[in-house]
Amino acid sequence: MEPADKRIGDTVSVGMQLKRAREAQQLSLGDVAERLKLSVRQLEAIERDDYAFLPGPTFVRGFVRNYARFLNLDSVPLMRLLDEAFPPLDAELAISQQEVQSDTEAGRWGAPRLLLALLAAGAIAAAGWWFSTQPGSEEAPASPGDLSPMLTVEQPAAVDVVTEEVPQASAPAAAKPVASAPAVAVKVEPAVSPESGLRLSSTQESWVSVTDAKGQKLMFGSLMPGEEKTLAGTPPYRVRIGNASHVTVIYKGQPVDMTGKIRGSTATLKLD
Amino acid sequence: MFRSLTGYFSNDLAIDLGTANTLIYMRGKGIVLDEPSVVAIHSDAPTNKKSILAVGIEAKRMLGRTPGSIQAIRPMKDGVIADFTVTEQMLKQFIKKVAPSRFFSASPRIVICVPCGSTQVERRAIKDSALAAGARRVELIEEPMAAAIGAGLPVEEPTGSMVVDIGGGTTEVGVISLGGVVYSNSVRVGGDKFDEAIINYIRRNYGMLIGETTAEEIKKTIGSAFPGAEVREMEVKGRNLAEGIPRAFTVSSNEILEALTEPLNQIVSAVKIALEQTPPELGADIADKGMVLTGGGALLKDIDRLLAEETGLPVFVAEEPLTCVVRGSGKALDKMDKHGTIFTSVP
Repeated sequence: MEPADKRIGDTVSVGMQLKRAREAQQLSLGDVAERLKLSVRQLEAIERDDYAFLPGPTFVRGFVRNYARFLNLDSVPLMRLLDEAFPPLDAELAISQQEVQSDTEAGRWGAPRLLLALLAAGAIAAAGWWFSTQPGSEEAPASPGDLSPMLTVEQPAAVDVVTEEVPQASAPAAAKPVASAPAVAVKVEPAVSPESGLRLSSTQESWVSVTDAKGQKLMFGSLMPGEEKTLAGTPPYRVRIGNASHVTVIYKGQPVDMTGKIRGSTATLKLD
Repeated sequence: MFRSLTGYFSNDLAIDLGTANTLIYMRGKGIVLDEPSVVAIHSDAPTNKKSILAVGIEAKRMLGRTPGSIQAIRPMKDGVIADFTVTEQMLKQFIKKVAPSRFFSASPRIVICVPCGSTQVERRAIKDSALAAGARRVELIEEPMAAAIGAGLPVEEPTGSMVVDIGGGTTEVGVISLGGVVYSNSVRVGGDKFDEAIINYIRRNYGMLIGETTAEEIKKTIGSAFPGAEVREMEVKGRNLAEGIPRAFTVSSNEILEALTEPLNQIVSAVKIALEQTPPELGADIADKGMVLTGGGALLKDIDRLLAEETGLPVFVAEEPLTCVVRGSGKALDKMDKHGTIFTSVP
């Protein structure tokens, strides 16, 4: 606030300005009361700036505006002074400038923020799906030395596609501590202990779906000729294999006998 | 839960669907639309197919200046719907303008105000046209209530407040206390009737024909409701009825005052009737605080003075009288979930 404004606000209040203007025009309070239909008491209160006596901010502003107009005063600066006298009024009036601005802010950012959150959640879900469906062969080059036995025990259910080297690699790696947490996070390839491991290999392309007890899809796609997959999850597994006569399933180190399970060319197995 | 979720995505609106102007307030954004309630319709002669050419300001510019194939219509008359289909289309266009439908946005909840004198059928029509225009839920609020809230009157307090809302089609007089309308009265006199009176007066006394737009301009420039110290004049162009040729002539503010006497008297008598019908306790409050004028009609020069002289009560014009009703409805919208009493019901 500028000092000049303040001085005016302090010394020449709204009521004082009105009173001076009235006296300059040689009008009595009675004349004004007659014209504005206000009581002399109310006019005195306005000139004293005693707003407690008057009905309320809206009315005071209305009365002052009328009074100013009657005296041919510019009501705009008076209204501004009244704004200072009635700070709550600003909050009261719905469309005061600031409120609109702050609300606009909220309105402008509220929706995008939520949208962003949704997008982020979607991205996380997509990343999770991508990691879980990643074929194991692509991850084979990852250095087996980084694998810790801790992980192999704790996380087989969470990240379940593993290369066939892993079980062998996990044994020497067991001695080594985890290099660093981030490195582990990137190259999570938990090993499968041979007891619970499910190994699939095929001589021809065949379609395989493996679901574990938690309903997690360990594998859902084609198995290429010559390709071998080792899966880990929570037994029992439900396995469906297309072109089953060319697929070998090894579970807990034992080949699974599929004779009698093959209907047409599809085999449905339950391994526990 | 679901409602609050959709509420998050929807842009709730408050609409003052007026005879002259339509204003839309959007929650959190303030007044987002203020346009004349005019629709220009293009009708294709051979196929008899009608399409909307323009709405709002653009359409208003066409009013009275259209060729045969185009019609500029004001679908609201006397504060209520005169042409249902066109009103619905207009609302649709306006809503589309302020709240373009996005993938995520739910259809808005709408608070819409109705004249207190409107019949149930008319209210139903307004509600239905808002629903047809894409609203999820529609609440109606009586105009005096909305105007009082917008003018900043203490509507929730146990004290009587009187508001006179002079709109384009109707004038609403309401006495409000404790969040409810104690007395309300509506007369179908407003800005339009003022214009009409000016047109008639000029035809009678000058033998000249002027259009509605010109009449409105005269009203805004030199119209007044109370004899003032100065007499103002204005040059007007119109068609001379005898010669059939456009001519210019000059009218004075005193003449316009004379022309407006009749509609103004109707407003004054509506106010007087309201004061007569007001319970004495509330009447005492009003005598102390006076009445507040809102609506476009309140901008007519010295209309507050006229009412003050006629009633002997203090009268003042609300700040920004044109937007009082929509601001009030907007406030009601913000309180929509909390306050049920301020809305009116429709069967």
